[in-house]
Amino acid sequence: MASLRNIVSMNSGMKFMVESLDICSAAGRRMLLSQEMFTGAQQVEQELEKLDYFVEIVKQENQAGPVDAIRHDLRQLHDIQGTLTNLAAATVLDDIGLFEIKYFCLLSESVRMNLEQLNCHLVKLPVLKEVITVLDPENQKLPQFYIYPAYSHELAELRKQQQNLLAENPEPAEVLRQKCLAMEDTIRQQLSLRLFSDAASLQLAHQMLATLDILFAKAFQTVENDLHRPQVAIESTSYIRLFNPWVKNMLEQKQKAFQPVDITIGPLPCLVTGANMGGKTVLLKTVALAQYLFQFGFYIPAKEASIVPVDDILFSMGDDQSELSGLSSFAAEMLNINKILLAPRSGNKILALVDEPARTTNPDEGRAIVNAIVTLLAKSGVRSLVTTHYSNISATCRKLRVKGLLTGELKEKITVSNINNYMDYSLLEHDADDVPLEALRIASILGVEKELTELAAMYLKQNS
Amino acid sequence: MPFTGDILQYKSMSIVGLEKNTGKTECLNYILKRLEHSGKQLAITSIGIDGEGIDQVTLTHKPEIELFENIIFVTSEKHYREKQLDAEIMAVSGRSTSLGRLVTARAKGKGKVIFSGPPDSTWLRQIIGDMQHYGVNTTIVDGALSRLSPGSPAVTESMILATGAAVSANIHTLVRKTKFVYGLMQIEAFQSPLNEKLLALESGIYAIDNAWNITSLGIPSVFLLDKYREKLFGHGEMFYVTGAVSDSLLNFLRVQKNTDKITLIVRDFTRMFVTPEAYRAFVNKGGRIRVLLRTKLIAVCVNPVSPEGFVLDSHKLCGNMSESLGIPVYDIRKI
Repeated sequence: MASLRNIVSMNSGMKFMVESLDICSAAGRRMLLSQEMFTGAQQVEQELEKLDYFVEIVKQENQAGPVDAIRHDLRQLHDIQGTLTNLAAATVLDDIGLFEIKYFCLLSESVRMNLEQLNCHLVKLPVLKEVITVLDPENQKLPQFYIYPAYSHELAELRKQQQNLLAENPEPAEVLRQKCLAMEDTIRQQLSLRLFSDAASLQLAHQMLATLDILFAKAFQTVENDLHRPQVAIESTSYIRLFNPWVKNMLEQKQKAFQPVDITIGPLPCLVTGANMGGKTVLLKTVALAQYLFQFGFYIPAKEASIVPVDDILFSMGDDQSELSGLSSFAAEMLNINKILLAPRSGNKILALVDEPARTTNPDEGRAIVNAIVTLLAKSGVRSLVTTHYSNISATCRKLRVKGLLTGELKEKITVSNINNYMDYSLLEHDADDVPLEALRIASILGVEKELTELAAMYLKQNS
Repeated sequence: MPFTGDILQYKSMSIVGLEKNTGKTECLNYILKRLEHSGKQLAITSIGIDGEGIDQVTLTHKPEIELFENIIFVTSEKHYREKQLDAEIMAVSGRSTSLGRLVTARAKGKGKVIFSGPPDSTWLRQIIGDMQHYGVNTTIVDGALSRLSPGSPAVTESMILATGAAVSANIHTLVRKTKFVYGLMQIEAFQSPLNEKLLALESGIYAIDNAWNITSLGIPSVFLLDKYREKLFGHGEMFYVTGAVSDSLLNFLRVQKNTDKITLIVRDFTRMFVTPEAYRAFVNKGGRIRVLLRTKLIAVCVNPVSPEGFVLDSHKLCGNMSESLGIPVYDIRKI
């Protein structure tokens, strides 16, 4: 099963979403990235319910005080997993380890107090007051530690004697120092043994704080990016006004807007046709992103979403590094598609996203291959989106078409820089077998030589 | 007592040695002894690995640093564990150095500590900044090896230069070499309304014209100057180099027709990676060098003992050096 870390390294949309999460602590980040995709409907639902709760907290302005305080504390949190593992293994901790635990407990207690103010019943931190008492014999409540004189009257006396001797009689002072060190070691052993009984609570608190960090970060992202709560579905996945935050962000930097789309993916494969630059590839990537977000317990960049959980999301995007494996782009693609077709046989429920299969071979065979792929996907009931430019795909499937370039009288000439304004990215049900012929129009908008487009138009006429 | 009082006027002070074994550590111990009863909160750290009991290169004994009660110190986990005093841990860094994380602690008694601080100036600057939370008046930085970088006024406000027989066994040569570095520290400050803007620039070479316009010349580094020679002139003869200034840059500027009109601006003296010959040749032809930040040199200290064991005449050394530099020079072992 893929961890979020693996997925982030492969999927730029997910990478964008994870990088824009404001995770406060290293422990939170580590926990988030090592999370594995939830595949069961119940798991996903549970994860979403947790997030619901935190989204509500973040939305309430009168809660901002404790929330800020918690996040401030989380930013100070150190990842002390190593020390906790040592403690649980009954190792004697040194001063640095003991300091880490004391520092951690003070922080955890501070967060716990603030959670109480929020009346948060979902994340309950264990009470660590007693651990603090053990490490704070002088009751200072400060994030500092050493083997305090309060631990042993004898040690305190020895230390004083040693300091008095240090300047005049370094040798006896050294003997005393060694004695002090031995006593300190004994105290460290006792402290470690005492803390050993709290190892499980400390581990739990560490995990809880990391969880809290992730949930707050997700909640803030939800509110700031206008993400919405998805519903867990059984039959069909459907989105209303689905957008891609990564692409939207890039467009907004260029003062452009992202046009959200509606789409439903049922048990029958969806075949998407449409003009070049019509956003088919972005659509596929956005559907993949939304599915990942859902299965990692995020809200969705869509006004409404109900999603069927799957075991795996498989792609054929045609952007594989086929040169590296010595395969032609066609060969690499076919092997990828083969994987997709084999997946359901092992009983895995998958979402397959196939971008323009067989586009690099001759159109007659290409069309036949697309027909076959769609037929096989339909046969095994794989939820899938397949895009193509080929017409006459007769296999059983649902057909969708990108509306495409506006026609009729336009205010201005369409160019590469404003094409975005004249492209309607929304999807229509499309029953016919034809595909829109817009390639020549797009080519001339791109400003390629007139000679080329005119000649091509002539050939097109001849053929028909 | 000479100069120790001056140190307390600054938020930070570094001790920088011109070479290894120039008595930096002894100088530091001297200063700490004098400041123990100053009534001010002090902190101490170092840059990079330093202060090993035995010097790794020459295997000569090197005095460890003796701390007094209540001073705050920052050293690596490895050396924290080897400390010879009681101390209360106040912070442990998130990042790690090659010797582990950095531990900030308060001395709970007298004793010796080996220092290994942050490996780079940026981190060091952060640590000095953090010391304010602990009410620290002055942070003292033990410079590592022969690196001048912590002496940069961008890192520490003031510095002490340690020099001595380790640099040269010949008093004349020793004085000459020290004088050159001292001369770099005395480079005049660039007076302009642009200084803040220039300090914010992080890489590249910039021209400044008479109307105080700053133009990036599109040259990433002076080391790539050969490729971009034609780009240099065209926006005036005043240049700000963000990184290091090398001999090749000075030599290139020197052979131009207009050397006497050129002003070369650097952040501070630690960016001058030049030989005395190239520097002098450039200046003698009329070229000007200016710094954005000038160093506050508190004192020059000498160590007349070389790592090989021979001893220079301390009196003569201090006298010659003082005469040549025009400021007092101290033999740490004598004062």
